[in-house]
Amino acid sequence: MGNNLTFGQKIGAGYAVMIAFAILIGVVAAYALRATVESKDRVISDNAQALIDAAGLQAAGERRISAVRGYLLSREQRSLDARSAAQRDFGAIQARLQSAADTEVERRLLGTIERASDAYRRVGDELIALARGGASHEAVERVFEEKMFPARDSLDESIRALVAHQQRLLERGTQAASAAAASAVTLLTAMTVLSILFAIVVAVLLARSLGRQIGAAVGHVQSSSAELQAAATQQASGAKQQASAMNEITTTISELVATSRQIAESAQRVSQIAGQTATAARHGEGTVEKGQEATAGMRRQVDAVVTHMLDLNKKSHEIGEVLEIVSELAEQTNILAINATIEASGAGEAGRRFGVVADEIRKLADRVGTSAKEIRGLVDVVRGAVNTTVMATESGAKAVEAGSRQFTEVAVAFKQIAGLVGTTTDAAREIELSTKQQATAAEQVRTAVADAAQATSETEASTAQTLQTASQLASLSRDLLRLVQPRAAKG
Amino acid sequence: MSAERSLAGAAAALRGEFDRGFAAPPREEPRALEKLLLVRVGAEPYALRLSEAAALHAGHPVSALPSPVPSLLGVAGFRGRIALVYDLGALLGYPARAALRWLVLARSSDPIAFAFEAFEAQLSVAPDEIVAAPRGERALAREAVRDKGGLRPIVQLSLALEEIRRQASAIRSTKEA
Repeated sequence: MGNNLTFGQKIGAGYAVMIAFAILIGVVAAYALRATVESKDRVISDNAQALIDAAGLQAAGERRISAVRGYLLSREQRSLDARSAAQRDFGAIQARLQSAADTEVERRLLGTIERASDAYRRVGDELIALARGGASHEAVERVFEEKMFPARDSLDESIRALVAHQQRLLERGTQAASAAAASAVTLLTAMTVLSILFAIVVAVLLARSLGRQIGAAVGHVQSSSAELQAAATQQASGAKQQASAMNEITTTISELVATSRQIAESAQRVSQIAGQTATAARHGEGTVEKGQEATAGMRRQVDAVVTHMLDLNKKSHEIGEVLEIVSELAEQTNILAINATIEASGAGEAGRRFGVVADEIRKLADRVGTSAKEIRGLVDVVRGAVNTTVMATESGAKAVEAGSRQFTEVAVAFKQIAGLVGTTTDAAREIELSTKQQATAAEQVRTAVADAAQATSETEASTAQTLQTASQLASLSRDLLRLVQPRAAKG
Repeated sequence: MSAERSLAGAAAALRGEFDRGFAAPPREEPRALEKLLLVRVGAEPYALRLSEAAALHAGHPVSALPSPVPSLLGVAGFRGRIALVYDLGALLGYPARAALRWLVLARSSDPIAFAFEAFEAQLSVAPDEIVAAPRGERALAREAVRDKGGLRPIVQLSLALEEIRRQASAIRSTKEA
């Protein structure tokens, strides 16, 4: 998960954690400062005010005594008014202290002060009444000594007790505020130390991670630069070979241009010869068509011969059948003649003469039979000849048919030849034109190859520059690796 | 063309001979000449005396007849007469054959005919041309006639008739025994 983060994300995450810690420390500091301020405010507003009021109470009591003494000395109304004002201030301070009192001790001390104050006020009223009544100085002094001083001491004692109590409360509040401030300082110090420790850990982890990744990347860059260096070296040698090859190509293309011109001249001659061949092929086509017609006529004649021969064979067969009848008749005649001879042999002289005639008839039948056999032989020969002729004629017909087919094929071939010769003529013309265009194109190619050779030389120079750059890049990657991974760089 | 000429010549010769046969006076044939029928029995050449024959027939139908005599083929009708037909080859000692087209009716008191394979021709010969059959020839052929191919045995139908009678009596005696 951590390895998939980018450098920016990792650094951003580290900074985010640090900012979170700073915010936390700020919040805690604000909270601690506020608590300290509240504690100090409470000390100042409550304890110090109570102490001041206690001191004011003491001052108001002193002013009442002074006013009573002033009246006893001057008998003026002004002193009584001052006593009344001091009496009101004393009452107001006392009332404020009572309202602020929140402990039993304070309320008890204030009750003591109130009772002492009431006793002191009654003694004062008694003295004023004695003075108004015109009592003697000794009487007044005696009341003073006997009542006024104890009442005043009692009041002073109770006020001092209150002041001392308030001073103790003030000291206790001050100590509590100082303790709160010290706690806040301790907490802030601890959090600051914790933040520093975490920042160190984050920095170490980040440095290790980034160093590892950057080191790997730099390693890749280093190997890539080495490969680039090797490739640039190969490219440089390739560029040299390419330059020499370009020179060879230029030479070859020059030869190609010369050859193309020769091909164009040859194609022109081929075109002329193809035109003449097309004319000859058309003549040949006409001749073949005439031959085809003659072959068709021959085929018809052969068909007629075959028909006649088959008819002749049929007639020969019919002759054979007639000869069978003749042979049979001759045989029957022969038998009749023999039987007549046999009959005649038993019939005396007349039978003997009849037997002579019958013998003549038998001989004639013998001759007829023999002739019929000869004729049958001849007819068989004729039929054999007819069959041979028919077979030969059919073979001839087949040969004529094959010849006709071949003539047809020859005619088709001549047509194809004529078409192909036309195509050849067109092709030769196209070859001529194409070869001329090819020669022009070859010239352009030669120019382009020369430009390419120039470009190859520039490429060679550029490759040298690339090689230098690759070397610098390799050195730079080593320096960078040394920065991020010193041990690896040394190794 | 030569065949045409040959045929035309043959026809003219035939016509001339036929005409001469009727135009010429009847010839006096020497009585001594012996007339023979040249036949083939079992593919072998034989001769029969015309004087021993009563008639010659070809392709005559023969009705088969069961008989203890092995050479008896059946019966056939000749001008209103029923005749027994025997296989001449079987009598001569040949094995049984088929297609015996020719029949010769023997000149005898008993109507008996003999069947054989083929009739070739009629031949008239002088008596001195008939000689004794060579030793070893079949019993029914005691004489022979000189022919182009050599000696042709002459089957004597009278001996054949005797052989038939002998076989019939032997069978009859066998049955009676």
